[in-house]
Amino acid sequence: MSESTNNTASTGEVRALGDLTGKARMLMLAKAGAGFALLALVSMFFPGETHDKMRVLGLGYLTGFVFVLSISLGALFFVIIHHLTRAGWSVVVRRLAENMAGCLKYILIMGLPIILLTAVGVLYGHWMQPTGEHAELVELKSGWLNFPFFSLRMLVYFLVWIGIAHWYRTKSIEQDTSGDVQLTKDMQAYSGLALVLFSLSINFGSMDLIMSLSPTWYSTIFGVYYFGGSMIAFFAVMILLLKRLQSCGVLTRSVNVEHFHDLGKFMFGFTIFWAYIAYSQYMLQWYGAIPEEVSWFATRGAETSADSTAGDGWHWAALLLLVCHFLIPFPGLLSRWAKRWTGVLMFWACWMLFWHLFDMAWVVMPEYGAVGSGGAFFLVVAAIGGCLGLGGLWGLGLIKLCNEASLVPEQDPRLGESLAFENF
Amino acid sequence: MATLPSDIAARPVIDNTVEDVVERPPAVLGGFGFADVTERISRVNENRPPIIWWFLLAFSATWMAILGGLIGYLFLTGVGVWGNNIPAAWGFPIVNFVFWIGIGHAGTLISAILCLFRQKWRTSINRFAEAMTIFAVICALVWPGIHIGRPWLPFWMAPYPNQMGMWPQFRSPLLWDVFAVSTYFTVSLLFWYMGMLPDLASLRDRARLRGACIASVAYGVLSLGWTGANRHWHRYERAYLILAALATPLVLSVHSVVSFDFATSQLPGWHTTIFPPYFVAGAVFGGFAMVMLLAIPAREIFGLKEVITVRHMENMAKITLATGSIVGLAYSTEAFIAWYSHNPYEGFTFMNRAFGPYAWSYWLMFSCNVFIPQTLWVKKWRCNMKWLFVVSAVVTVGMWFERFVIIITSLTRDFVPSSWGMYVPTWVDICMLMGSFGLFFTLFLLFLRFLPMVNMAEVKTCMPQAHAHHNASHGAGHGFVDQHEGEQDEEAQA
Repeated sequence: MSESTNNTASTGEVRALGDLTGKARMLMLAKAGAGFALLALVSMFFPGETHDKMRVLGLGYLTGFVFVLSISLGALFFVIIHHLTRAGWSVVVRRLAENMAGCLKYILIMGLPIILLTAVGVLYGHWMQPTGEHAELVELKSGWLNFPFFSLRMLVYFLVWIGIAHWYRTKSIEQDTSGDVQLTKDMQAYSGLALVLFSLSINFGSMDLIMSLSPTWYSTIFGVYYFGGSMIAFFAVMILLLKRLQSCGVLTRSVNVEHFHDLGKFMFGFTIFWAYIAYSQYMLQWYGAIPEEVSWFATRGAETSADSTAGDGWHWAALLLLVCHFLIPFPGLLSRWAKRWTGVLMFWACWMLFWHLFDMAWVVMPEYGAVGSGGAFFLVVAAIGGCLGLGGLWGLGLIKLCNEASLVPEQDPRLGESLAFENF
Repeated sequence: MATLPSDIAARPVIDNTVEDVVERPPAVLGGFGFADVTERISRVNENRPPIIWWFLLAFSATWMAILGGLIGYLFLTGVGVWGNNIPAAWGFPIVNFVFWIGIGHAGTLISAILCLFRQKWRTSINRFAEAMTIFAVICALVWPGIHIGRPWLPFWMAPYPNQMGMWPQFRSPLLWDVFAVSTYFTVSLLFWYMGMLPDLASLRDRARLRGACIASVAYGVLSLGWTGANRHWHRYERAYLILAALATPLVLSVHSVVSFDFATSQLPGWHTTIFPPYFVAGAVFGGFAMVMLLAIPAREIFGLKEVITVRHMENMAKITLATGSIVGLAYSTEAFIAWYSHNPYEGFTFMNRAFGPYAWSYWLMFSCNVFIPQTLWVKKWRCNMKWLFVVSAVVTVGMWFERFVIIITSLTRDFVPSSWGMYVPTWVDICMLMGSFGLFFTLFLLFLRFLPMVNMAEVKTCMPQAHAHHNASHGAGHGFVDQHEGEQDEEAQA
């Protein structure tokens, strides 16, 4: 890559993947292959009829889908908020975020099997073919929860997300060569509008994608819950990606411990934010104890009534989520040194990313039904397979986007500020 | 207090609201040096106050006295003097409580959260926003104190070992409120007072120089022997950062707990999971509106336009717009879920709010909080102080009515039509609400007169002179005002 040669000559660091591309592609392919193989194996050997096996496959795939979507949406929010607040420190890491958000167009393609699985009744069966005691209530919602409208809404959400991501990434890359400060002004000027569109779409999008799996349940905070997890996932992936790139000799000078420190602070902050939102959602419904609300938590093993059997097999998962998604990382990430010692920070990034994955699995997989502890464990394994598989494909997309331009916004007017940035 | 000669300080800057992506705009205008900042801010405390201050104080103090009188009347007569009834057992007192607690959110958000986000512009406005927080919480605390029915027993709210073996109900969010609000008040007060120490010492030294005995003793006692030594500054910075980190979760927790008062119930319109973050966003929204409402006349009357610049106001307007839009999103999400859930009671509650007997208050709330603040998207309007003042007043009204809508519409029409009722406030309710504004403004006017209304020490760290050393050693090639070196150069301005 001629650009990377230029970069190296003028800045003393490599700002492109270059020769790493081939190896990274193989790794991502292997990850995707292993993930999908795992998902297929668990589904195949899961006890039950073919339809049940297909449901495991579908729910595992959906978990992977909402997992990779959360990373890209977190990245999109980061890009928008960077421009909205006229941030300086984050310029050097912004291109990677733009690339991660750019993957939304690949995620749209990854969503096609979900539409297909919905059409054949594997996913969202509760409102596609309402049966049982709540059928009448679910029928009432058919004006919103029906296949054509659902697909249309999905398309609209993705068009909004892809549109914003594409516009910001194009403008930013254009600035690499032109150096035009007007581009920065434009990106700042439209960031408010972009944020409004983003907030509306992630709010209703997550309700459609995840909340509607159990159509009788509702929670007004659900969009915020998904958003909180998305931000953790994004910062974790950003930290891991930067660390990996640096270990391969890329971005070794422009990104330093100061940037890691700030990324770590945000990951820590959103870990608390997620806990705050999760607590608000759980505590209020638990305290209110209205049957149609608490049933969602009961299905996920998060209820305090000893005689309930709805969440059999998921009690351990609910407890693990509380302990590992918040109680352990909170003191772990609290100290300054934990965020500045990048090896330790990398550990916590891996940790948070895994528990975010687990959170997504805990939200999606229990829709399968009560399965006992062993069954629940294998459902989580299926979800891990789904996340690995789609994560691998997402990684392939990211590599492609990373090769299209420098990994640093070369002529951003605030690049100097970002390079010289120091925490005090 | 020497003014460092600097070409940056001498550069004429007229409009700092112009978007310049290359260089960060200056936080202080007018080519001010350190001494000018001290002079400009201290003179508010040292000179005779303008006649309008006396007028406003007399007016506010009258209403404060009315509040005091009415509290006496209430204690002597009983809560029957209010419009509270069954089913609307929570009337104006709780509406006012939630409103004032909400107002008290902007101060700590500005001093703690914006501090963690390295928003240096906050230094011009944090002091009086924090003062406002303290006074708003005092106003809020009046209401549960007089609403308990037996006003001679407020100490029963505190859990203390007693011979009756009686404890408060720990499972009640109302008790959590007692803890949340008192913690918030304590930390905010500490934060405010500690941040004021260097400025109090400046006032002390100036009072001594001009031979003002009482002022010199009073400021001397309050400034706790501050000398501006390196060691003092070091501890000050540490303590400030720790208090900022402690105060940040408190900003979120207080109004979350207040929202639990409603959301833990099963009442339609109250029981919804979005309440905690939505209440916090609403509180910040209302709080910023109040800061602007106070700052716009204050900067005019006391000649502080170079320190509290149009850019500061514009930034606050942007935060108001953002939080107002979050509130709008929460209203919409609530309405959507009421429809989506097909829960007949939820659905009815929202129809009742929009078209029932209190529909006027619902649409007033929606217009004030969602529609009118949208005008702040336009830069020309949000930089227009007159319009910003109008919007701030409108938002303050809107946020009061938000609490009115939530409390009154849900209580007056719940599940069983036979238990429905109406709520009408009495003259005592209305006069006590006015009186709480009297209390708030009296305290605020006294603060403006006797304490430094702008954080002089911190404002100086944002001025180009604080970075003279940095610019000299690295040259002007960076093209941005470095933010981090201000902390190291504090001795220079002390």
